[in-house]
Amino acid sequence: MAALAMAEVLDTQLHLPGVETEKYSLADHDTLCVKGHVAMHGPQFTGDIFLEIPVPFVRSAAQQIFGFENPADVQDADLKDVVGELSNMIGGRVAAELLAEGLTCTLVPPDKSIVTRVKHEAKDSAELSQTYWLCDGNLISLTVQKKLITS
Amino acid sequence: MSAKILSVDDSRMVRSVISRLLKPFEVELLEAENGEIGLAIATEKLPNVIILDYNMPVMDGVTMLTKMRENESTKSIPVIMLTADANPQIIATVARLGVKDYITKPFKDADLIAKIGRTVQLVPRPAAPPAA
Repeated sequence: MAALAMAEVLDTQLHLPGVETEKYSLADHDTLCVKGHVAMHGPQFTGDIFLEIPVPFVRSAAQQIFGFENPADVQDADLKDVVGELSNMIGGRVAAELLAEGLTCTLVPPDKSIVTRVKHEAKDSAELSQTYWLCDGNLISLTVQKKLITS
Repeated sequence: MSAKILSVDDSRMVRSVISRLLKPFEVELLEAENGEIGLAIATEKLPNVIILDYNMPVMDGVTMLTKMRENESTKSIPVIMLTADANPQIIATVARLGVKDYITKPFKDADLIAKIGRTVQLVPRPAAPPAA
């Protein structure tokens, strides 16, 4: 569902092509990630989008975006700002795709944190899709969880 | 005279991207991280155009836009919405409030510059003289 959104965000905002991959080993990649979480609330469903990007990759992107000379000048707040906004953009695109299926929702402003990457598990009867992307040698994970509200 | 542009977005990343895109032009760029600060700056500085996010803490973009339209001094300032949210209810609301344009994030650099350029004249900065 979010594949197009992810590819578009990486291309237009970071100017880097991202490729969805099924061949990955979490052990071969940085486990410390910046996580952005956007919650979606609608009359027919609730949902969550989790975007996890390795810290060194976000640091490099933030250095360019904010124009820092030295990577060490990039603060945690800068890392969280970048991933929060990227997850917000993906959330907007996913919401638009859901709207095309007749599901309306509002987006909650993203919350951001620095975490160890985890494999997300579907909660209750939620529908969960977790995809991995390679971008400039870094493994990015995107998880979309959706649960229909049954009356 | 350079154009005065106000960028209102809670994301410092988006404000930085806009600042970089406008650097080649004679522009006075003002910034605010939410609608409340944006409204105060708009009232005091009367920018030529406002680039406005929707989903922000403290005061969202629609509330800021509504308050601007109620104020004689700010009601005619052109506004370009720049938001991740493509909810048709929001689009209909801001259309009623007379926004000049609506851009959804993620956006292409050239699209944003073209839409700003349709609202205000973007004059290129003169090239810096060669170092002596």
